[in-house]
Amino acid sequence: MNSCEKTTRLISEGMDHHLPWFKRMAVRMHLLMCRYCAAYYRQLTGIRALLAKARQAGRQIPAEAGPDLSDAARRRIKEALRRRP
Amino acid sequence: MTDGQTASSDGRRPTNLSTDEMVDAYGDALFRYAFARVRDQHAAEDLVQETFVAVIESQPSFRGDSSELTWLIGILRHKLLDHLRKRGREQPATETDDAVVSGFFDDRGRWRTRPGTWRIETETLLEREEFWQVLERCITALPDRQAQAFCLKMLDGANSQEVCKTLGVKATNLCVLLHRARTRLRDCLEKRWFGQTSSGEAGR
Repeated sequence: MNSCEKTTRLISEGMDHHLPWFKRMAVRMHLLMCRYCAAYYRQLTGIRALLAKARQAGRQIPAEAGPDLSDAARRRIKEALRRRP
Repeated sequence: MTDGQTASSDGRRPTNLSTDEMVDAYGDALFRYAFARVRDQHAAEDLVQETFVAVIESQPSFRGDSSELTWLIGILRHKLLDHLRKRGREQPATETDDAVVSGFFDDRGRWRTRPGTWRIETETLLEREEFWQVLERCITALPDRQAQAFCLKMLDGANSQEVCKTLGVKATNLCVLLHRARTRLRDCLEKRWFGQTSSGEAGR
């Protein structure tokens, strides 16, 4: 049986493209036996569905996390816009 | 009155923003959007500036409502993808090991940090602003390349081929980046949100 680490790689890969049947079978077998990887699978597909919904709803990410435009850059940009004809 | 308000001289839109006000109203949001995806302060600043210049040239009157941000981000996004594609061609990426993700497993590939039993309750979480703040912080904490791949693929909904082309990576490398990003993000959400109460109540 595949290890948990290998299984998580296949789970993630399966979200990006179609896996051949034997890899899908190997994942399914592993998930039947391992509740941690089953939780991982549920959570990853849950996150994907949530982000897809947020995108449909027009949510901009990130909205708040991350740095502000620095004062220097803000001044520079305002200056550049004023100089335009 | 500054130059940016010349368009309002016909009196149709008395609440038009000046160019200075426009930079103050949208500069931070645009910068954060760009920075999360290019992970380079100067490049992100340049992209914001180019976006404002393009906007002034195409539609000089601005009112400061929320649909304008969406529109601005659309313009920024085109410039951002061009920038990433150019950089991807110039600096082909190499992926090294990610010790954090390999640390989640023992040397036989079994979970060392076992995932909890929480579930995503989509409808409830969509409305929970605190959750989105946590999620944004978890994305910000990802290593640069992983964050770029994750944002393009999972937030912006690009397909894998587009992301590979944009970032200049092979399909197998993209799989590696996304696996690491998702695994780190899952762990971060568990620690910062779902694990905060014993029953995962925070997510309900």
